[in-house]
Amino acid sequence: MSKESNYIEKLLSRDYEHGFTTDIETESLPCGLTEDTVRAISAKKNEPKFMLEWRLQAFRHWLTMREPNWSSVVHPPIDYQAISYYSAPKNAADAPKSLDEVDPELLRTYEKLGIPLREQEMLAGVAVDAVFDSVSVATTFKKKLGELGIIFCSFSEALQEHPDLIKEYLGSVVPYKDNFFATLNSAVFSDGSFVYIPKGVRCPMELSTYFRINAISTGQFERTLIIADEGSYVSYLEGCTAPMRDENQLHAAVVELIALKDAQIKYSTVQNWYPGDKEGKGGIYNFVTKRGECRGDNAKISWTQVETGSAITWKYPSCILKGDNTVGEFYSVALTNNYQQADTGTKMIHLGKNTKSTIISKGISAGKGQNAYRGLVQVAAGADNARNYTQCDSLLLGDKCGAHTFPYIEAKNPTANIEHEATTSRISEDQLFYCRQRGISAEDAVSMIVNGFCKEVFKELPMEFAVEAQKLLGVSLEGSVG
Amino acid sequence: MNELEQHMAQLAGAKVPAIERLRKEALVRFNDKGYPDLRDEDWKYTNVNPMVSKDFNLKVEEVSLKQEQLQAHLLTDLDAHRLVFVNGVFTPDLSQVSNASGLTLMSMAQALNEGNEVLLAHLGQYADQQAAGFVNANTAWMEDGIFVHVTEGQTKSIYALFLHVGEGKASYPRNLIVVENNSECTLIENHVGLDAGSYASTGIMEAVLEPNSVLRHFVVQQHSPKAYSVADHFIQQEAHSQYYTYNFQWGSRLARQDINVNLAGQGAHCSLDGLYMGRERQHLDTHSRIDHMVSHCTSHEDYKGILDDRSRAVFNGKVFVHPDAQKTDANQQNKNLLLSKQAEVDTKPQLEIYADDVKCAHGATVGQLDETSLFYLQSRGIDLTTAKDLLTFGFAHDVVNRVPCEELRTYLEKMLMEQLTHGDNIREFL
Amino acid sequence: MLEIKNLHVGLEGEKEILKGIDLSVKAGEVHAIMGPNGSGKSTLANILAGREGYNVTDGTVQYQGNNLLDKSPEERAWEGLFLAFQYPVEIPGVNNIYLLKAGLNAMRKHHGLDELDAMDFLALVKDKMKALKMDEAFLYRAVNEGFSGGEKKRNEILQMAILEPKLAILDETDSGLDIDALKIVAEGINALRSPERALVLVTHYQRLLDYVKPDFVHVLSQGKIIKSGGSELALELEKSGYSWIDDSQRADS
Repeated sequence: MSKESNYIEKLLSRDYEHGFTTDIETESLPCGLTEDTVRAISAKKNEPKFMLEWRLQAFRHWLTMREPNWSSVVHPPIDYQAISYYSAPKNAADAPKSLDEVDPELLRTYEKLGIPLREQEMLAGVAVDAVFDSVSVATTFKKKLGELGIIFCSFSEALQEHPDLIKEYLGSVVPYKDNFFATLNSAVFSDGSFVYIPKGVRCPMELSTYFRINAISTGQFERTLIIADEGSYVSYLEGCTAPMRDENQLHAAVVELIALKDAQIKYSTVQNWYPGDKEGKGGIYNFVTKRGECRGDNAKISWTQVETGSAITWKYPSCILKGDNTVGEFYSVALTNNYQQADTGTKMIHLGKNTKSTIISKGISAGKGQNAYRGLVQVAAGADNARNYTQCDSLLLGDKCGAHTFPYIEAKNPTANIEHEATTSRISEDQLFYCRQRGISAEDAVSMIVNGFCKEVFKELPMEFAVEAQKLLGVSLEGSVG
Repeated sequence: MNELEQHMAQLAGAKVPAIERLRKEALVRFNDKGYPDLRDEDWKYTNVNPMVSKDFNLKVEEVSLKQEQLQAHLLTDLDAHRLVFVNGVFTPDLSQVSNASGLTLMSMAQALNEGNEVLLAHLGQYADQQAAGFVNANTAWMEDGIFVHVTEGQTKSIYALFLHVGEGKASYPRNLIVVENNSECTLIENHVGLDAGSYASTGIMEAVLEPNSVLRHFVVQQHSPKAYSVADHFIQQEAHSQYYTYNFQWGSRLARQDINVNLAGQGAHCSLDGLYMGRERQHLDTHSRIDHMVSHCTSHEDYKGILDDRSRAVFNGKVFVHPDAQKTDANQQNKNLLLSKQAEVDTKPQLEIYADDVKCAHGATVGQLDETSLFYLQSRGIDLTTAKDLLTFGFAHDVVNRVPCEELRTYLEKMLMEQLTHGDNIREFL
Repeated sequence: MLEIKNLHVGLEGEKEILKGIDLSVKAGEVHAIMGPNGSGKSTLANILAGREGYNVTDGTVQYQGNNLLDKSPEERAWEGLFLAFQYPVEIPGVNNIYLLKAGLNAMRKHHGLDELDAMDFLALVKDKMKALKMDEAFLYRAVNEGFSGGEKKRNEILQMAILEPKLAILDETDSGLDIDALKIVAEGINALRSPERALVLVTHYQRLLDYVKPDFVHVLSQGKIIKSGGSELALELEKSGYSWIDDSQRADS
């Protein structure tokens, strides 16, 4: 093994920081999944009838489906009967009216994670919805946002307060029959965030959800629905962590974004679920369906993700560019170390005229990690003047890892312009020696080079998240100069 | 004996036990697996049902060809050994093979019947037995083709012309090329449909490049617009060998070509250049897979495509870098031009990398003729149709131009011109 | 300052490139090491800066009284040894200014000095850049990425000016420069000449020496210094080329 790989190993062998568990009394459904489970979840949340019906349709359809096997990830079979589909902190059963009613143990948990939920302690400009296991425990800045007509609340609350919006938009981008994990989610999802930005409103702060899996043997199935009405704008952030546990836990979320005419949604994720230990034991299976639709003309949806956690990541945040002149973007950094596997990418479906999409994907593989980019750029026959630019770069840190690129390009319109580029390389001895000759230690040089590699994606992240993302990659902060 | 068994008993090499065994084993696999369908990831965009559901015949009546029908394709200027096949069968009258030291050259049927030792040592060793049904079908029913064994030095070019006339024939051409240490071989394969008949051709080429050898391989596929063709090439490369292939496809209703290169010895290099041009309802599918098995190998791939009318092209280029294949340098390009509203292209360059000290890159584009260039030509008084043909020709000619054989280049230019709607108009400009 | 004795170096697992080099460089001196391609000039520069992949089979190198060879590249940098690269390396996504600041601060930290803050650093850099006629935009471009040959070489001199080394080794810094760029680079080098500092210019041609006058010239051929002299030796080489070396060596053997 070269010396260079030793430095990389040192850099990458830091421990998972969010691995603690919270000792809190919870109320869980017993493990297992039947129609009764679905009814029980719906009943607990006192849902309107249409919701239960929708869940049941999904459940019945799920029974006819098989787990997909086309991606390059491998894992032992998942026993869907060994999972508890609902777990909530006990005294959160009646949703807390204010933060004062939130269990102090929970507040401490989020503080420990660097997400203070008390508004006065928070970074100004970020509103947070905290989801703990299956339920939302707190949402901040609701009142201030409410003055602008912005709805930002837990999905459960939205079902009670705004059932019409949910009825209209839920499943309109990711239908309940979409795919195995999305269908499962449709049947058993427990909570999540709901956002509605009214016409012409520019949301004055970043909205953010912080997901935390705590309970043992629990699956987390949250559902996020964001609707940006005509001419509105919202930037939404999502973060996730989980304790270190030896068994694998399933996270199968669905995110639907709807951007109406002239609206813009920016969705950023820093995913740091527990990745498992160095021997590949434990960790989260992160099987997520994320899709946005630019439904009206001139709409724009932008996905940015930094994926460093999870034992397996399987997600393809996608854009359906339905309106004319719509824009879709996907910026991604995925790091796999030890035995982590990532199969991630995007789909850009060009349907409207003069639609544009950009894909920038940076994969970093280390240890025995396997990292695949899988993407589809599709230009439909009627999508005149569609433009796509794709760049996928892979950086290999070590000789036991793998980097794979599977781009699918389907063009049915002669005015389409599609460009795809991909490269794979490793940190060269020359680069390392050059930095060291300038007095920079080998470890710092490696992290500097890795950071430089990811720069195009990091610059898309909101400031607070960019800092966190760089820290996650073990990178000292660049850009503090100049 | 049923009809199929009867046919197999009459095939070349039926009296050689090793060959009989090869055919039988392939038939068992074929019966087991059948033909691929759209659920198979490698056949996701190409439906072979129109081809495999048709009843083509293993035998058709012999035809006699008139000299003027084939004159254009004989490449008489080229100093080469020429082997001509009509409907899949070697035709000595049209062929011209001279003795040369260091070279064994004969029809595949002859080699099979003789039970040639070199042939037996290599035949079927490289064609992936797990591959799609077509590979098994060919091995079971392989008919004729060329067998080349270069033992030393550099031979003059070998020109294999596969002519197809009339309706309904199913041919199974099979080629085997063995190039020994330090020797070189140049092979030109030309597949021509002389009339607009409907027929099927399912071919395999296996080539073995021993250390320090060189194989230049040109393939021109201009089957009849009603023909169905599938061709699989399997190239086995030992240390420091070099394989150069140039592929031109504009024939067939449905064509599929697979190139599989196995870089098995250090320092081996392969280079794949190609051009596919589709018109009307043609469906042209090109798949390549380059396996970097060991360190210090290089590969290069550059394919261009032009799709007009309602044609559709599929390109899938896979580069696979195996564990420990360090110092690999692989690059791949695929550029497509869509000329019509109904044309379609599906391209998928693919990298799978399991080593770290590598340099791999690929690129794919889909676009159209450059507006500025069109406008420039128009402003110089050239009408739009001619301007379009000129630019299209230029896009395609870039690949023709790389062919390091002047006689073949001239021939390709002529054939290329005939593919353009108003090819005659642009001749004066070139 | 630098004391090389009987230095033998080979590539790992391969044949010897340097076959017994002796060289002594004192503070305030400027040495030029000249020689034809493949004579081992760049190997000598690389080995002094600590590049991996070489095998020292014999001999010693003392720098400021200590063994240089067992130090890591960054330790050598902190102690004032600077190498201007023949082929400066591109590092995508890393700002030029960031590399400069990280290097300088690592060195200051090593010497127990406070790290420079962004403002002070920027002031320092801007000052140095003016002297090298470099545009400020350079700072915010990725390290050497998309730089022309001349820009890369000027960037090396800028780094040298900021790190203020005690011993600077310039490997073919004149190659690929037009005459104007050469003058600017030479001015940059001359500005750094001082009684506390030593410079070693590694070069194939004499033309840089027209602008940076060396105190000593050494001719390296086939891994050995075969001739040493004053600056007039460079002119001699310019006139007669390297062929006389080959001739004289052939005569020896």
